[in-house]
Amino acid sequence: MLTKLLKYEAKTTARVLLPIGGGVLAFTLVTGLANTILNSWSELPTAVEWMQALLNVAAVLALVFVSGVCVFVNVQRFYRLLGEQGYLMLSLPVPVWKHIAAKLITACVWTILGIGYLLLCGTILGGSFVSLSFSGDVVTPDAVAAFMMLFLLLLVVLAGTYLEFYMACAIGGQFGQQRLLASIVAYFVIGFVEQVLCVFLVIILALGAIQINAFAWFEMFYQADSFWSVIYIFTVLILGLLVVNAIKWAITQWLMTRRLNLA
Amino acid sequence: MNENVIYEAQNLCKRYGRKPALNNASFTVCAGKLVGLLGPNGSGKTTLLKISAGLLARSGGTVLIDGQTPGVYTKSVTSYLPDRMALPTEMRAADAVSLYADFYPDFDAAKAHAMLADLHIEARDRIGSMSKGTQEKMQLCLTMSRAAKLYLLDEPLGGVDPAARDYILQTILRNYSEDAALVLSTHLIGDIEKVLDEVIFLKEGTVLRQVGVDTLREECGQSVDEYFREVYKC
Repeated sequence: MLTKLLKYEAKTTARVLLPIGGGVLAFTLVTGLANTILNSWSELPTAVEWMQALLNVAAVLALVFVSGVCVFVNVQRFYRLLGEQGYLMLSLPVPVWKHIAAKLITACVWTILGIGYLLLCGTILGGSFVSLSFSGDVVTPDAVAAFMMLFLLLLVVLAGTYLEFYMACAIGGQFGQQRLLASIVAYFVIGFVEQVLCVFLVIILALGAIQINAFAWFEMFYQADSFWSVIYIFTVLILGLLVVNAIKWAITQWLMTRRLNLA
Repeated sequence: MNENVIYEAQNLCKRYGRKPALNNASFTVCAGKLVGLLGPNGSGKTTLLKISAGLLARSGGTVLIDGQTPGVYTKSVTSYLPDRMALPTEMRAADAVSLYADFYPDFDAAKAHAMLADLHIEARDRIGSMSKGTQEKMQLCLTMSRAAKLYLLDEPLGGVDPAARDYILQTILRNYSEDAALVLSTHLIGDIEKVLDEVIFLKEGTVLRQVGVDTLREECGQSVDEYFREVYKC
């Protein structure tokens, strides 16, 4: 069932994102081509320079727009699940966690593809592919492991960002009226509470670390094996964020099962 | 519990804030029965069907469908028609049929395509470009193309012209399996009372009366419509 939901989500989101992405890519290609041609000339009339600058600003704005649309569409898909589309989707014989998972996986995949898309467009605008090339010498097992840990960390942060949106939508869905406003307010309140809790957690951890002399232990560990000490820090960070994400997921799922209130 | 009972509500309550929408509603529906859920606006019909379809959390009481509380299993044996358009308007007719076929093992895609052909709906037609009446008929066709144990139809006759009402009624009667139970909410009683086996009258969230249509006619010497008008007279 999760595979079927993913297929359905991918088709629905692609129907919106691909035409927009394709259009902006075509515009970026035209701008990149114009940049390559115009930059090869030593002297350009001021009017042409202005036109080129405006074209580049428009291309950058178009890329910002695509990024915004990518996030908006993925959040809106979840928001609509708690509205009119819930009458169809939540009637399906599928557990709620699969609905959340399908939306989250689709959103993360689109965002990762979006980052690749932005890199590609940025390179095209720059008029060269040099910035995307890399030397094979840097591909060592340690570098690959470090890259994978960094990728995993960013993925967990990304999932957490979307789960926060979902939780805010689920809280907003508890209200009989003004659900959109309630969801937006909930999002900012969650952010505020999260920051306050984070500050307290950092203070407590710092005090604890000073008391058990953790910094000296870590320094010793780092000097003995710098690679594994960095991997260890990444692992702790990822596990911590996974716990936070699990809490957000659990609250969202609870609201959608025990407190479901379709508009 | 009687083996024949497919749906059972016991002391079902739902509150929206302080306002009760359902207040200790209790009734049962047996397999093979076509039941009308009747009541004026705000009597709790939609709320009751939404809770039964697993789309709304109840405040108290229990609902059992085929012996189980609303969840994944009950959704697999219940075919629910909401009181609004739920199909995504960006979808084509064929996409909607595929969606139902993908998720409901009891869905008969050939039957759905035949019903859509009767309505002159092409597979490539976008739902958003159809008229409101056609959208509602299409949604009904998809709902009735399932071989479910329980059909929950919320206001299937609401908002359509009298000719479309006849089509909808015929679609329901032609496609509803004799072994299944069908609960249909409406306040257009005159159009449907001839096909109902039983009626459940709801008033301010409570079950006022559950009675067989023939029994009601014999007891009161009135049609269901006349009885309804008398009971709910303003």
